Amino acid sequence: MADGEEPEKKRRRIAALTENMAVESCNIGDWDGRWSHVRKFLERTGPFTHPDFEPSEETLQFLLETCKILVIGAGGLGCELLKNLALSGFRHIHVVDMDIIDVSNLNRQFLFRSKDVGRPKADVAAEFINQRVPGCNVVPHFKKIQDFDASFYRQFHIIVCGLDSIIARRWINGMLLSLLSYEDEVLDPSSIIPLIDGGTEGFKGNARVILPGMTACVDCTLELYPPQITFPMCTIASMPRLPEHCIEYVRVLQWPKDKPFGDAVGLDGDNPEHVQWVFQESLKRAAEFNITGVTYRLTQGVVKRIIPAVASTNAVIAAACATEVFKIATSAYIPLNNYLVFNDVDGLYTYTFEAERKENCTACSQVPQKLQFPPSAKLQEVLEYLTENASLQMKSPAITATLEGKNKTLYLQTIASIEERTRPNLCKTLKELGLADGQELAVADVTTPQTVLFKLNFTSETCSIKQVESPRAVFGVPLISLRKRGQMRQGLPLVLTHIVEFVDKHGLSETGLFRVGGSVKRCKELRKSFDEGGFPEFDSRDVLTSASLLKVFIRELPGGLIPEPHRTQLLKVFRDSKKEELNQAVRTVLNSLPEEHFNVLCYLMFFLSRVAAESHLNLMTSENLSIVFGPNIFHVPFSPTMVEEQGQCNTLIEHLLDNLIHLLPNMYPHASNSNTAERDWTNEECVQQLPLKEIRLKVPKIGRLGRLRKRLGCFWRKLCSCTYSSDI
Amino acid sequence: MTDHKTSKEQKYDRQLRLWGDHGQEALENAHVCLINANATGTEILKNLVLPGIGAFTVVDGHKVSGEDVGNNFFLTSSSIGKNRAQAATELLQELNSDVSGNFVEESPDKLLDNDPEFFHRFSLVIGIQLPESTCLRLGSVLWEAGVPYLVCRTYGLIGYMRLIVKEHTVVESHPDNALEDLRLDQPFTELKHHIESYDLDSMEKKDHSHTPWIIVVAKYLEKWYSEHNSQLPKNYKEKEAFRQLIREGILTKENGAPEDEENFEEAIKNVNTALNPTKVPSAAEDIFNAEQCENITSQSPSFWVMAQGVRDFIRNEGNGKLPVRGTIPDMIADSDKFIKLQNVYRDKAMKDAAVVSKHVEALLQSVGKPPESISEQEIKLFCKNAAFLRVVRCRSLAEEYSMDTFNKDEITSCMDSTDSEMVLYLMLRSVDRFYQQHSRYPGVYNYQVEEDINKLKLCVNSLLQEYSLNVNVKDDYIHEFCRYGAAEPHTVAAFLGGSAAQEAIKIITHQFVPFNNTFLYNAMSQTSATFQL
Repeated sequence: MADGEEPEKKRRRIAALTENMAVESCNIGDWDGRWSHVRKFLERTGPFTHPDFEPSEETLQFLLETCKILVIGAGGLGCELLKNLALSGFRHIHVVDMDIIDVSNLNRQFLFRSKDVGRPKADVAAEFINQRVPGCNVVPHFKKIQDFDASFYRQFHIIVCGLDSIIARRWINGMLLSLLSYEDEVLDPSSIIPLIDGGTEGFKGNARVILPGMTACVDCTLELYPPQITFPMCTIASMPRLPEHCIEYVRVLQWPKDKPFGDAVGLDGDNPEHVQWVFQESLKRAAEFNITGVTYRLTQGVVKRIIPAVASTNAVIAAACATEVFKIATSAYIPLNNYLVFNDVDGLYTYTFEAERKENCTACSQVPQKLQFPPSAKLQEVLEYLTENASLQMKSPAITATLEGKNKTLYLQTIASIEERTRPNLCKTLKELGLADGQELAVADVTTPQTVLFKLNFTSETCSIKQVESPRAVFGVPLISLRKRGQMRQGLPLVLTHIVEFVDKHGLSETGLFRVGGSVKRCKELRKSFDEGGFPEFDSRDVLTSASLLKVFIRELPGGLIPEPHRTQLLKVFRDSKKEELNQAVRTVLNSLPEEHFNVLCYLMFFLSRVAAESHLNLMTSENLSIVFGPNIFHVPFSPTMVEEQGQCNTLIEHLLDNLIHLLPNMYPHASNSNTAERDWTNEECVQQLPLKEIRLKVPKIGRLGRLRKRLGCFWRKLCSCTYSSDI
Repeated sequence: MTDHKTSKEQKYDRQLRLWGDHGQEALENAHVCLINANATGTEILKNLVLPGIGAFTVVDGHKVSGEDVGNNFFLTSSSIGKNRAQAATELLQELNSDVSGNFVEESPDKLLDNDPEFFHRFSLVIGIQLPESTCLRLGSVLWEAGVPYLVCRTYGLIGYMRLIVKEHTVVESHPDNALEDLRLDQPFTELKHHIESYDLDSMEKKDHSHTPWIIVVAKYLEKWYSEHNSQLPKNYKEKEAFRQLIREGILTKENGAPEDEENFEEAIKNVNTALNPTKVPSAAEDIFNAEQCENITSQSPSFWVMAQGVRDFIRNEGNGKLPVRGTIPDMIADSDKFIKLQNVYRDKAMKDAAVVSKHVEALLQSVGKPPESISEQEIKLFCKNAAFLRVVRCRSLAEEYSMDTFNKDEITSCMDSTDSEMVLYLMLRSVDRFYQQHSRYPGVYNYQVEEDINKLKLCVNSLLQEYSLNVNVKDDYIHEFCRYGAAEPHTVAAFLGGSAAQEAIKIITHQFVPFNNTFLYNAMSQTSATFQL
């Protein structure tokens, strides 16, 4: 480091020597200064340490001698993780990976060379690390994670994942949850094995810390993974337009028909001859339809569902994961709470937020799972529910029930002979299968090491078939569906006017209206009642809950009340327009909203302006309302500028509220100023400055960003990375 | 040769899908200089060597210490005492035989004294953990020479990067969600003819329901025009009326119920974006109005030559519009109708690009350069991306450090929040000040940590005073930075290693958009921020 003057230098050298000796003496094979970078954090106290932290030389000894880490995956992330851990003082490391090395790994999996192609990743990675980092003992396992049982996983202090499969993530998540022990329903903290999980795709990645049983688990956030892109069969079969359609045709339809490499030979994306055949046939098909753009590379990409990958993103995410392992193992810092997203397509962007636990998570909640179906529902419907429900997303569920004291398999997909035998059950009704109300169904699936128990609740025949997608549901349903189903009057959802009229009547003077949350339980009950077709009575002493319900209704509108592309357009005109042109530009965009959305927006905005007009009582100025409603009205997608964008969206709402009469026609029946309702709102000249009667109370800005970030967590739509699995 | 090519294609397959063969070619033609092969430095190089950078040169005058081997994967205990540039080069080179590794066993200061032009040859210079004086000296040499410069530093749990590039142009910025370029408001002649070739009223049901929505919208737009003075539907009311017009066009069954025509549904859904007035985006407009676009010389980079070509196209043949992009989204349609429509746009894009090409050619000739100095291929790519062009201009280090030009507003406003990543920047500047005064970093040895806290605090105060910054730096950060003792934990170095390498690749390939200009990473909280300083 510094080359200072003599006496200082000498003094330092002596000090350094004595410091080093303290540790080196008990670690044969180490050299002077080997751990001095690490020791600064372990032997010194600091203002940002974990409350449990005590500086001591013993912590390094713990890392070197005791702490046992499992790394799952020895690929792009795994190689980096092993290096990072080995150089941070971890020596007892196991690594599990079922893959062998492919030449396309070499651009980032830096522990492998051309000569290693074809060998197990785990073996080569372990050899390399053990050779390069003296004293480190990486134990390789060329196996699947499912080949090990609880006793194997229980031996580790911390587990880090660098996987490319959601199923594998869910499985290990389920395994660690199964290791938890509860005493009198209280979680025994010593049974928790922290799980650090990383994922990457191209220039995007994420890292998260999961404390099983305590913080959001993989299944809690399942809905955040975007669905896999699939092409409709009719497009593939009869009207291809893109080169991808042609390749899919050859892969899905032509291969099984032509059997180009023999009867029993399935398409192997790693076999160049297979890919070459698909490529050639796709070219032919494309030529037939005059489609251009089929290349060998694209063919390979479609056949193998290739996820682009670079060294740099893997390095970033693995580094963040390893830092978290170090924090947890040493308490030298407070661990990440609990989710980090990274993207460097446009600049460098990270976003850190707290993913929330799902109250009724199938994997970690301990809440008994319910299946609500009428007795006349067919088993097929149950199966579809298990695979399609966003929070279950099972892959090939096997359903068993105990009938007359015997375990009976109702349906099992993974074994051909049993599938064939149980297939007729799919067309039978639950009643015909002999299932009773309250019956327990055990469901096994590749996504979890444990069977999940569901309690079957029979609903009456006239009632909803499925709990979530009831035809009467009014929450989370597109406005257009509400209109089609006749759940609207005068262009407004009945549920909306029902709530708004109540809040308008009883809530305008309520302090912190919309900002202060109501009763979560009561809110859920009300919602359920609405979803079942009812119009529940509200309690005038509990306006806040109804107010919360209104937010839920707006928030859950699919795509957002101001959906894409209007949202982006609005932001753009808001950013780019000259002041004098702004309102005209905003109006143009708002005008282009789908009718239903436009109506609801007008209605809601004018109602909110009434709330703001009473801000001397309720303290909800348009600024405050915009902070509360911005994230409900706009679903800001993941992007490098997400936080900033949400801020802009909120400002936009504030602008809308402040300039309402210039921007939207008044569709609110009890408008405070009846004159404005009759004006031609599209005519700028008619609407001169008519400020709403509003007393603006300045609220302090502190904590605004914090709240915003937290709120954004709930709106996480399109999480990057780790979404497509190449090995499902 | 072909074998070598295919094996390279296989090896680099996963990244070729991101930056293409031309991006890879740029990478393979690049020569990067790394100053200081400590953990941060070798991690960056690792992530450049793996994807196949052409060549690297490590400049490092240090001898390998035991500390160095402790946190650096590309040094071994047997290299202790040897020159660090040499030792690291050997192990980095071994990662990828396609890459040429070189080293210079000298300190950057010596090179700057004796042969500052040494640095002119590189595509990019990456300086790691440099003392402030060296960093600024090198900065001014590279600024003058127009060589991009990336400064990186790992200090405890803090990562810092600063990019200094006078002007960086990006044709392929790869935007995540871009609006389509369909020209329905102002259809070009060929598109008009193509639309005319359809007659929705006389179609069989199958054809009717497999007509691309672009055609459907265009057809009903004609109808609309005839009833509305040839004005586009503008406001909500009109657009809704227009949607209704389309809705009424859906075929009906015998019982009067509408047929299931997904293409019409798509048309209704797309009315908004489809009727977006065609115009040049303001960011692109700025580029066409830039001085560099106006004054083309024989020295002008091809980006600006092409920019002027496109600008001339806009002002003349384009009638105020960009060249047609030539792509359409996938939509419900049968193959034949879709491909024909796609070809209408594609052909027009080719024509427009050919016109731009003529402008570029004339321009090249006027400054005495051969017309083939910019290929057709480049011009096509430029035209296709004309709406997404980006130019990044970073301020120099001299501007950042000068009392007259430092970005006081940015610093002060960020420091309204005392935990802003900006405080880390101020701390790093204070640590440098400490180094200047004491020839060592604070807290390097245990016995000095306590006394250094006060010394560092003096440095913080003098920095703030000197720049008249009226901000509050919490004592916690001063204490924490002394705790670091300039340690370089491997995982933080590895984080920077990944992010810096990616920025280097952006600079080299001119694809994707580099950060501008200061990046701070806080590994304690796993947060980061970018500032313009």
